[in-house]
Amino acid sequence: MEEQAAAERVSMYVTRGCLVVPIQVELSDELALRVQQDVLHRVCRGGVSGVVIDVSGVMVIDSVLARIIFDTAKMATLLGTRAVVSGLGPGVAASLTDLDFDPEDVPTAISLEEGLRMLEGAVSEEEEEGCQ
Amino acid sequence: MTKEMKEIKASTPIAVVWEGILLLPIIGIIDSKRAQEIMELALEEIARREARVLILDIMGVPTVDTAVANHLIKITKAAKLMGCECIISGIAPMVAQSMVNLGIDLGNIIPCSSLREAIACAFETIGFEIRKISK
Repeated sequence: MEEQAAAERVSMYVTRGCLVVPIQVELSDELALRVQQDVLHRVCRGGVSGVVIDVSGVMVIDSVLARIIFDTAKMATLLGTRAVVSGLGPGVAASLTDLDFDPEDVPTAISLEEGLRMLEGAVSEEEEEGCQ
Repeated sequence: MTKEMKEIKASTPIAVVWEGILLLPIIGIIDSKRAQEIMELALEEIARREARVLILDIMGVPTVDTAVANHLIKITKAAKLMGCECIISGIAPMVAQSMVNLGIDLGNIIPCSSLREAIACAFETIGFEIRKISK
């Protein structure tokens, strides 16, 4: 069982300086924590100025999972990137609100595309600053 | 969809003002059940249209009690989680009075005095401005 859990991983990729983390499996708390670690390690390796955590493929998110996901975004922000959580569906959003979940200033986007668009501004601004 | 849901849908039209801007006028008395259904409809529509701003126009709501205000706040919180800002417009004087008297905190909702101002605010949020063209 543990071995099986260890083999389970969420793949992530970097596109135009943004780390995209598409979560397409039902998350367990352990897996979510592993994703958190992987994301932070990847950000530490450099070459990433933005992170989008896309949860559009996750049908059920409880308050613990949501906390882990939003905390990951906050941690990535501490590492000097901009982080967005995208793809929360109507059902998930409604149930998290019922659970009194507080996103604490973590920006959210309706879709992965929108999330990347939000970060694009940040990335190009940084580049502009670098040019000056 | 049940017959009831259809009725609610008919009484709560959601208009697309612009790409990314939804307008939800609420007319009549809201009870908890209706508020719940309005929330479901609004969130589904936000997801379907990938909206970035939702304008809640409550001009047609005569009274707001604590429960209803909480439902409105819930709609905005859930919309925010989906990456959609909420603007409330058309708060009647009576409603404003009762909201403050009841100690309701509207949180991060952007209040606007009129629908016109709300639409201007919504356009600003998605990066547009309304200006007169010179002829």
